Amino acid sequence: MSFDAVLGTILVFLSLGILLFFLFRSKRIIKLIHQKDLHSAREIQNKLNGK
Amino acid sequence: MANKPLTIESELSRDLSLFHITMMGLGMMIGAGVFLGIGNAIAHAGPGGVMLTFALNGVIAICTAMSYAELSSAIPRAGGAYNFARLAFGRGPSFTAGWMEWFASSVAGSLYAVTFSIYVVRYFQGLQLLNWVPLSIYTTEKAVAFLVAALFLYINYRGASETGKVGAFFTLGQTIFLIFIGLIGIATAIIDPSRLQNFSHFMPLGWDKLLVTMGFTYVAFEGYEVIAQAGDETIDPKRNLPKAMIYSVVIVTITYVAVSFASIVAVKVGSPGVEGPVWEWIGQFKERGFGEAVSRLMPAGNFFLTLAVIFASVSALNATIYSATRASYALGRDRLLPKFFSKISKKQRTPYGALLFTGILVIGVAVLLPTMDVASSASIMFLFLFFLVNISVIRIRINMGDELDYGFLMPFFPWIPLLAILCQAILAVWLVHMSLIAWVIAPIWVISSILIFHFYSKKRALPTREEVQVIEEEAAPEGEGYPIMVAVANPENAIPMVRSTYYISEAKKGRVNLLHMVPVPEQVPLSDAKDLILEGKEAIIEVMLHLCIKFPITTTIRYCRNVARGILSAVKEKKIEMMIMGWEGKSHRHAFSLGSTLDYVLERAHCNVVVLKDLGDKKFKNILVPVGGGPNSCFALEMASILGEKHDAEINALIINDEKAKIDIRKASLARKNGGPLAFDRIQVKRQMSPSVSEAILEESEHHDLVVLGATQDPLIRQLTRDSITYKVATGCDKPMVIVKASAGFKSWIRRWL
Repeated sequence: MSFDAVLGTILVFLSLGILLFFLFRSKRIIKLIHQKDLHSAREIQNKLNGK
Repeated sequence: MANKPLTIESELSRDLSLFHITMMGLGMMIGAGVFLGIGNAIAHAGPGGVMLTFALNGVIAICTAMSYAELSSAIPRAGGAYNFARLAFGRGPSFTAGWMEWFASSVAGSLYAVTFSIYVVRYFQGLQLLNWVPLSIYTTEKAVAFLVAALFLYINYRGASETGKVGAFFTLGQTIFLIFIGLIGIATAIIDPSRLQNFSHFMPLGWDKLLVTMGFTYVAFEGYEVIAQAGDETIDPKRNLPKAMIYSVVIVTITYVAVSFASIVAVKVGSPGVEGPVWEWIGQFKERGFGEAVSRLMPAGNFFLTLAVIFASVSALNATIYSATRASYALGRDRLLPKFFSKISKKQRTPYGALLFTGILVIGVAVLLPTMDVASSASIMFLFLFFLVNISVIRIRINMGDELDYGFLMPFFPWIPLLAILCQAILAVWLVHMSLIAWVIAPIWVISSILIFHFYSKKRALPTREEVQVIEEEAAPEGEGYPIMVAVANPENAIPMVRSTYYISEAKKGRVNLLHMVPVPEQVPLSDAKDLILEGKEAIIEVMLHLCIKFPITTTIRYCRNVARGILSAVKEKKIEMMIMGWEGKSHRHAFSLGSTLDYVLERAHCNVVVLKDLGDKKFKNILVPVGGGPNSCFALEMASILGEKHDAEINALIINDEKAKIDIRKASLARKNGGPLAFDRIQVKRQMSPSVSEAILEESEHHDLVVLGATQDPLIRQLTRDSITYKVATGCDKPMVIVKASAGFKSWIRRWL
């Protein structure tokens, strides 16, 4: 396998991994916002940062 | 009963579920980009390049999708980018967004018409059913594109628009078909691993070609704009809109990557008709490459693929004509474009003016431009539009993040929209290698929007819900003087502010502008706002009675949707140098340090700000001024000097933890631009070491009867939390207090914008 193929394959899987990461992270954020009844950006950010 | 007036109440029907709106987004994305894009992407970037094209585009798309998701969850109304830009930047950029949205949707419609014609003509040509047609294949394709676009324009004119519910099931069928092709491709590679040799030249033409293919296939990721448009009709929009946007991008990216993989492994090296590397063989068919590959992957592949393309392209064509018409109709309705755009057919009840111009655009582009130029023009316009949305999400979160009610907040803010902006800019620039025509058309379209707005729309635009509007204004006679604005909230807080305001205005030779903001909730019609101003009038008259003898006074009552933003806009409009406000000493909302209005004004005002707490008519003999050496400390000393002179008070400048005695008040005051004089004869400097600055100030304040505190120069993040020294001292000290913040000039400009 050429270097291009290795790097390309890694990039394809990395991209898909990033997509899945954002998918699950976003789901978690939406769930948190609705469970804790958060509203403003500051409230949500403070909660996400554990403050 | 007979006398009871008959009222008809109307309410919005929200009946699109998460499934429906996800499918709407998928339907827009799967319309054409993948069918036309795969063959061309293989021709330009090779077998590995095509997979990378869709995988990396998916990452950029999810960044923009999260921007759309955040904005749609906070502003779940129909309008998409047009609405977001209106809120972030005002009418001009919002017109540009609407103008780009109209063009992008129309050109996407052209692309879907072209996709339909290419696949249908190719299928019938394969069956030898077009031999009787005296036209070349290219002309036949253009004629079919014209006919199908005209047919769907007519369908839209008749008002028989396909609803999200019915379309959802068509889209589900297309998506399942594409996933099926991907799965067959994977199964083929497992059964016959020699086909993986097709990837041996992974990027045969170089990595830079990737940027070109990513650019022209980006149109296959634009579905979240349609989801945002459905905000008014979605069930639980705050939760479902962001989910649908993110789900749709993830689903299409995985599908596209799988289908790209299947296209490459579909063809066996050395099979009949295939000469040279497989990627070259597929690439030579360009737009039809995907179809040629799939026809070798499974029996009757050609038939099923043509069927899928027909469904995908016509449903997407219908949706884009509908969406483009709605965008141009909205511009006509708001009189940003001529009234003709908002004309509605009496019989069909459809906007025939907007539809006519949309039709001219769709058909003109489909017939006149080569396919790749159509795809590139659509892509570049969506890239420009998304660019604007990514800037809007940053501006809206920073300026209105505390007022909007979010259903989703993107992680890693602001890095994600910034990354999207950067990547989209690179892709847009690189598209010049694919289509010079697109790069001529797109800037002309954007520049024309600016010209149309300035020379036509600006004067004619109908007033919509303005953020701030002046209800009453009584101007002072024209004259010179230092412009000071005093924000008066109510009669109770007005009187205690009068004496100190008087002293400050006198020392600064001020021209005073009294301002009362009337917050009006969105639900209250503007026509009723006047009923809310009585208390404000009373407060302003109280202050006027005390100040008008000495100073020229202008009084302003404004209604606004948000008090802090209203104050800042008044400061900017009237070129105010100093803002004086009152503070009752506590914040009502946990998320704010001093209060939502004060926090906002202190953070963003580009003038000097003075906040008075509990000064009333009290006499002061000892004034404490904590000094850190920055511009706010010097401004605090200036205010203390003014009050000290009037009260004949001593001023103690407290310098904490300055081991090497670096802070020199005289030098610092000289370095300050536009600063007033300090009463050095009254100032005593006291140096002190302490592990906690705020505790040392609080302890020292016990021996003084007034504290004048400069806002800290803490980093923005720290100021937003309750860690700042200003917050700790302001809330911990029970003595009368003045909090000041000097105009930060360029720094404050950066804060307002970033």
